[in-house]
Amino acid sequence: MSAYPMSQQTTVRILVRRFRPFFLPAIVITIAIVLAAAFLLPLVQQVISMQDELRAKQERIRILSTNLDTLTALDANELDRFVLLARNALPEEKDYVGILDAISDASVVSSVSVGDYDIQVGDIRQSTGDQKTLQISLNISGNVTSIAAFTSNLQKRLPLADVIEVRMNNQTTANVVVQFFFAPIGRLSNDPGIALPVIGPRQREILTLLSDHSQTLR
Amino acid sequence: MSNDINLFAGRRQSLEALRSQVRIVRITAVASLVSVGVAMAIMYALLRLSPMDALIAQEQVLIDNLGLLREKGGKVLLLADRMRGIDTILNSQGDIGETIGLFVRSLPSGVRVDTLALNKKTFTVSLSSPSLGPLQQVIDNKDAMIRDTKRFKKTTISSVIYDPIQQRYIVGIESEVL
Repeated sequence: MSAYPMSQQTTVRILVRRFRPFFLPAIVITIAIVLAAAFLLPLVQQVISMQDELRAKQERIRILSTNLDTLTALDANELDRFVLLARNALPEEKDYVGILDAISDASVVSSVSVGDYDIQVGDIRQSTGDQKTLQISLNISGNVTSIAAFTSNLQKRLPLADVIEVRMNNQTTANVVVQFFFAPIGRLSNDPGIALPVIGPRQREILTLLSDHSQTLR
Repeated sequence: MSNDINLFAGRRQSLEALRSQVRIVRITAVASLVSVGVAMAIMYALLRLSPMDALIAQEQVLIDNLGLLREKGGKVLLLADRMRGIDTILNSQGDIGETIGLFVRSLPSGVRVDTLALNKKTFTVSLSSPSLGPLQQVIDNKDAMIRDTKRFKKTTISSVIYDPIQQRYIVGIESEVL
């Protein structure tokens, strides 16, 4: 005996007969949805991700190409000269020889005599940025004009220096406190895909200035 | 006779509506299946026809060429590293010597610099002269320097004394350095 009463069986049969034409399209639509979810969406994601990778790759190739052009166009001798100049101006570590040369050169040009000097080796200060400074206190003999010339000349030599104090206690001697800069080499990237810095107009202007400083006496 | 009780006409309308619905559903089903198929084919073609392999080959060629210029590249990076520091130093560098020179050049004859102290913030000087006239000139010149050179901010005359032994007037001047 059936679990459903006769009237209910009749209703189901009528509904099945009425909606039978929709069964096949419904199955097809379901298959399409399943296909879209299982295969099409991952494919779309792959394509989008591939487009991003392509853009990144094209950008990297553009940078590599620019780097290659930059390096090819650079004159090796000029680059060596620039590097030497820059390293003389801002040595990686305390350049005692360069410092003493600069003091000696500036004193000769300014007609002052440098007496004793006190290099505060232990007093290495962190200046602005990554630069460190070595402070030196100099006792010099000369008149006020020559002392002014000495301090100006000292700042126009390599390694780079900054006179931070001048104290004349009489008309012929002065104490000059000067700090010389040095800076360890920062982290240099090995990745050829990073855009190489360009030697622009500002850098060339600085290099010309440094070149003048290096040729002031020598 | 009323149309409202014409059962045959009502059934015929109902059948036609059903057929129309079936047609729409069938078209939708076919269209969705075709759309999914076409979209998958396009996506697959896009993946297969990607220029990635050619780009990777081009990248490798460039990297190989750059490898030959590695030393030069290292020097460029080193130079840039130094230049950053040098630029910072040059921007912060003062010119004490130039300031002293400027001041000394402004002194009238007969005025002597007895003591002088200059740092990044203050300028203190003690001047002497046999008469007050040149010292007045110094103060006027200092006033002009404040206006013209923008090296000093404020000037104070800290003392004016007469030294009977040396027979000289001594003036102490303090300025704030810009």
